[in-house]
Amino acid sequence: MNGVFSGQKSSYRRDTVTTADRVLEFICRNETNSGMVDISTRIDRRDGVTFVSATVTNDRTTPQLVRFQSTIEPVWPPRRNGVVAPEWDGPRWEGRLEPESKRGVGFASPETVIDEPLESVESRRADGRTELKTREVLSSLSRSKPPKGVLSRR
Amino acid sequence: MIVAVSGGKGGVGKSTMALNLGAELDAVVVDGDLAMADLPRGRGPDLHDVLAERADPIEAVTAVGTVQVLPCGRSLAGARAADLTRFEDVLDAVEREFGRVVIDCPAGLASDVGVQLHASDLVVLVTADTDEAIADALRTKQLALEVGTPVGAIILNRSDARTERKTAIERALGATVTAVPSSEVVHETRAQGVPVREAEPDCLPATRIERVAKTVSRCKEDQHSSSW
Repeated sequence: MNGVFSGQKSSYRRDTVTTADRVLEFICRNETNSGMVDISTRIDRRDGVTFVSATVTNDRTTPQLVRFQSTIEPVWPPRRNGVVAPEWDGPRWEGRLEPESKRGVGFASPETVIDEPLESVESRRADGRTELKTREVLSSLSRSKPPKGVLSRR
Repeated sequence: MIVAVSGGKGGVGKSTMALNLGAELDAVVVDGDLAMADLPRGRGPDLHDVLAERADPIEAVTAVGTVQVLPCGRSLAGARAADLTRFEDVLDAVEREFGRVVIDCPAGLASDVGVQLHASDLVVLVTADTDEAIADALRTKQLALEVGTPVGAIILNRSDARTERKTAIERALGATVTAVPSSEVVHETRAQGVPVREAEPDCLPATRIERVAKTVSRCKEDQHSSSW
């Protein structure tokens, strides 16, 4: 359980994709407006679904609060423990990057990608403390379920 | 003030202690065990209805004897329909109306416990004096710290441990340990769903629980003064 709330990573697995599955894949790199945060994106399209996976890098020595927006909609965000990853709100992603760290961002969509799938909206220095939200707690812990005996007891 | 009564392991007396602590603090006791509710309940709406947005949290609070309780439903369908993301708002609403809230947390370390600990100002750990129960209490403490909630007090239930033993547990769990001895009156009042102090206000368990309540109130005052 140690550190379940630190270093959360988004959860798109790419290792299951074979070369034949990839209809479209390219790797692009774009510096965000402020130059503080670097994003490299990769797109896989298979079975009519676009999978966008990106690595966001913060080279700064200060924590950064980063906002992205998807250029394609609808966004199908990843779920953890049955809860939509707390960073996602509709087409927007907002997350905190610790100093000199990387984070994964990923989502799926039925739409095809023409331009950059993720565009930077904002990146600014984050406060020293992280405020944990209920949704972050829910997505980090396993879902509660009644013990096995409970059904037969009632 | 929102106090979570938790401890990881089942059957150590969390619900009994939550009810008694609630009586002592003049708080609303919320039955947080969505799948296996334990506290006495009335006939009105319950926490399942509140979390499914079928009832107002304030309306669901009902007096059971002298204690105000927000009971929980007994059905698994109700537990399934409960939206845990609403928990914090529900607790805040009850706190605004009644001032003090004590949550009787379920056993385990799943997301229901995490959300309840996260919504609380401090945690009271309840444990039996066994290695297994203390290990579970330690895990609960770690989870509480991860969600940013400090441990205010520890109840060593059904125990008359001596000072050295208590000191060892205090060192492991990092808060004041109060032992509540096993007693006939606790068993009887538990069966009736009433706090011990109603039956025998001067008995040892009642005075020990009163001590825990004082520790908890003091923690809260310290938190307030340190935030200024």
